[in-house]
Amino acid sequence: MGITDIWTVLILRPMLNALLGLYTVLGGQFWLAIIFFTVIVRVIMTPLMLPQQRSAKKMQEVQPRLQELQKKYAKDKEKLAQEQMKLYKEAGVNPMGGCLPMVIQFPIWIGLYQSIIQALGHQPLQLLNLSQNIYPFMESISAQIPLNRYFLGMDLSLTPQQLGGLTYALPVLVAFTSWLQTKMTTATSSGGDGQAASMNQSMTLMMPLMMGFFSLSFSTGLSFYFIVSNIIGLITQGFISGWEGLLFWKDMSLSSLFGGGGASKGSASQKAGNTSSQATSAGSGKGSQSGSKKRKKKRRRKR
Amino acid sequence: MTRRGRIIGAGLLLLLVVVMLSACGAQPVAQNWPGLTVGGGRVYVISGAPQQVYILDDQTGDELATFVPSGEQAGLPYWSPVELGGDLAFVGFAESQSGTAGLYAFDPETGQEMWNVPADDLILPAPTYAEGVVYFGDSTGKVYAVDVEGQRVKSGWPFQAEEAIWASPLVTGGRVYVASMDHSVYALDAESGQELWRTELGGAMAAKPVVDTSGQTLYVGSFNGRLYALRADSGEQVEGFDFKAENWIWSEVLLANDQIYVTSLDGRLYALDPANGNVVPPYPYDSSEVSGTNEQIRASPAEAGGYIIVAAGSGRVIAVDNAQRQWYWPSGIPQSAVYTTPVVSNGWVYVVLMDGQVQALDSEDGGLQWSFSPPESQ
Repeated sequence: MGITDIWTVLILRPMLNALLGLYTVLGGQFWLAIIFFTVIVRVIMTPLMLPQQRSAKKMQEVQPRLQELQKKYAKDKEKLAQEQMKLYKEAGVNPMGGCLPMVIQFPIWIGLYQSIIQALGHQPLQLLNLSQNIYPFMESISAQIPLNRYFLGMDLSLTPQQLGGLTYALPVLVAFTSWLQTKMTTATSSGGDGQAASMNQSMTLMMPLMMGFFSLSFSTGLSFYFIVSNIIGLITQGFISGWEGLLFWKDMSLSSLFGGGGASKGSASQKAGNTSSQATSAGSGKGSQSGSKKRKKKRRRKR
Repeated sequence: MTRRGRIIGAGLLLLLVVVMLSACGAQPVAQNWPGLTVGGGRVYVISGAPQQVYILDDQTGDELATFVPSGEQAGLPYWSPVELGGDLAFVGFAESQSGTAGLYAFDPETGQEMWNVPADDLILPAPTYAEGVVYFGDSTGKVYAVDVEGQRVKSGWPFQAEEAIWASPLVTGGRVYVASMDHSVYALDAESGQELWRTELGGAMAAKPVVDTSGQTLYVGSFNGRLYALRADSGEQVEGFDFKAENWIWSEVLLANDQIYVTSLDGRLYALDPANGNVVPPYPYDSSEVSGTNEQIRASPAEAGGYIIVAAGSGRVIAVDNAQRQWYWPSGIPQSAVYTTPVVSNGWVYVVLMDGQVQALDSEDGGLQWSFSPPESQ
């Protein structure tokens, strides 16, 4: 059995048949099947996602101590790194914890992409492959081929580039919800030294942009998955660390766009963390720190 | 984890995302098997990259000419198999970038384009020529009748089905029978295009209906695994006829030796009693028993010299009769899948592989007579 076969047996077939089963149960609406599938995937992944989201909350709580460490060991980077790691360990924070859910999601994205292409195939070879991947007990689905691939007149198997018009809103929505989710997470976990923080900031903008960009050339069905998945992520994170991170417009600035959830005065981390501007400016590096000080001065002037 | 480790980790993660997502969003390729037609001493095969119609000498495999529609073809091309009729050759062609789609008529000897008639979408099945008219269906479900002399769609046409047409129309007795992906078989008046009857069956159909020698019964296979027998005059299902394979039926049936031969994606060749659809022993012939692999048989069966020729998805071409089985593949090792129906002509079996290679085999012993590879697949 080759790698392709292993992938087919372990990832593609279960996902494809789950989608087909949901399609049958939900009255032949593929878009509904995708939404329910996303909810199920998120529920299954909860044990993996929750520790990461809790870790983000803990990260938020250790921000003041991180700030102190940065001040204390400003001239000894090595010692600072050691102390930071010690602090993370004590607080039960995994600075790279956010990577695991993302790595786990890769096979889901790819498997779902392949499943959508096969299930909604409108060329002969795509359907030929589909016929080989339907479980024998799901045989009744064969009588429903070709599946209903439309949602509001939009072909879920085609890309926004192929469909044009309003479908370009989907990649924008993918990027936006992805940015919002990343912002909520990084708002609470942007601690660390300057380099790590600036890397965090880049990720906050780069990942959503990349997701939006790739959604341009994905089937719109996959964009559905991304959007619903991001919304569920936002809701879960909101319950864990508060909803203030969603109020992004209150502090729209270039620095906040680039991951400055932590730099925003109204952000979740600041309010929950109580020493917010200090903590987040530390997490956002020197640039954000000075920006925060300027905002403080402005506030004093207003008063 | 050190700072450097974290940065490298995040960088690698980003790289992984880019690589994996790029793979998903890769430019699609035409998802069809190559068309193969033999007639008038020539072989017409859709092959190469970019794809074009290669016109070969059927005795030597020498390339005589090619056909590709005029104009820039920058996008992805979609072709139907070639149909020969009158003194012309017809092929459906579409191109993704410009969105052009239509039926093209060309000189079968020189490959020179003669004229074309636009269609609304891809034409995947081979057109059917009958008495100066070319009938074909497209992926929007339209069925066209093009008058060859007038070079235009006949009055009253196109007919609109509810889903795509992936099967060639059958034209006989002044009627056009079309199987559609909308689970229905339609009978249309060949002259006016008016619907005479429509029968809804239990699954999508991508195979051309076949009529028996009496002209009274139509046989058509479906994606629900069933083979249906319909009365040609009314579309009613023939009572008592019942057959179901273990996977989809995508092939046309072959009527020979007073039996119905049909293949299925379950890897089997079935011989059925035309009266009731019962399997006739020693069939079914299970190709995977011989090859040891899970086979798909998409191609329709063909008959040559008393044998039933089967091309399996693994690339094996097999000749079967009621008493013996014989391997036909010259090298014994399949090089590429075969989904296109083999064509039998003048004692030879012509096969085209998914990689575009054409082979002519002797129908007596399967010996390789010649092979042709388009420049890109050599």
